[in-house]
Amino acid sequence: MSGPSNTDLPLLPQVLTGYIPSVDLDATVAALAPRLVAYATGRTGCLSTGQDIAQEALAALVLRWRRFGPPESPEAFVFAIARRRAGRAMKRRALLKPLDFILAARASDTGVESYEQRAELQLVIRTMNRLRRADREVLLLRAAGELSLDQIAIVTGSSAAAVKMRLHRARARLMELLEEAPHAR
Amino acid sequence: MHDDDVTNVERRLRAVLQPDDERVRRVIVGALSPDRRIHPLRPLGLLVACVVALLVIAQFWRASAPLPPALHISGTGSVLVVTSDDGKRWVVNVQRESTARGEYVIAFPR
Repeated sequence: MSGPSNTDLPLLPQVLTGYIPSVDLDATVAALAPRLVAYATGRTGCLSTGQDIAQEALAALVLRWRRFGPPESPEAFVFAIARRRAGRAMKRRALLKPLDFILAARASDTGVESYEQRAELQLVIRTMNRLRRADREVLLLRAAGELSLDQIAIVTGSSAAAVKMRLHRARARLMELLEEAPHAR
Repeated sequence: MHDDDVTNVERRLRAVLQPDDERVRRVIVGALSPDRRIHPLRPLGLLVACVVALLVIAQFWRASAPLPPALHISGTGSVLVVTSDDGKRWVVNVQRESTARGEYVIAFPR
């Protein structure tokens, strides 16, 4: 008589995985944080907004991880959230644009640093805004988010082939535009 | 060029967008904080913003609403002529069946 083989029994019942804290959570958050901040800053053009978006996306990951275990792809999970929130932040900003003079006064009162004050960033973001929206998105996810093509495809909900084509086009166009720019380096 | 390679443009973009360590640390601490909750003033701020927006919209709506045309009443005896600013005219023949004073006609445009 032979007992059950190792392959018959799961090493850990699926239901328990959510209750066992993973030692990798802190490391994952630490690895994703700078990439998320960079991506969200590139999307919104503002460091403080980028920081808020990154923190909210990571907090959602932490909550998900602690309750149900790690998602299949933590990168895709947080970047999808950050992408949606950045989109909402941009819409909110467009709506509040007429009140810019008040918000600007508030920002200067609280000493909030804006990335836009930095000439280099200003130049790059202005140039990036001349790219097609979908191309810009893919380029930011690749350059700032450091995601692979497959991960970008998951985050944007498009095919890997489309991502590849957009990335190629965005790179070429951005290089061309930066060379045209007056203070391009 | 392979698509997984990082180009110069991407390196430049990455360098420009790179956040400083202190900011990254704050993001990590904020995300891992167990008592993370919505800032108490955030809903209040949203409520105030909504009320202000509604007041502004109401003010614009009131200012842009068309005024009803003014009516001029003239005539003698039992015949009244009501003339509107837009040229319309109504002739009202008030048949006095009683001699009581204080009768009047209300005219308003539809």
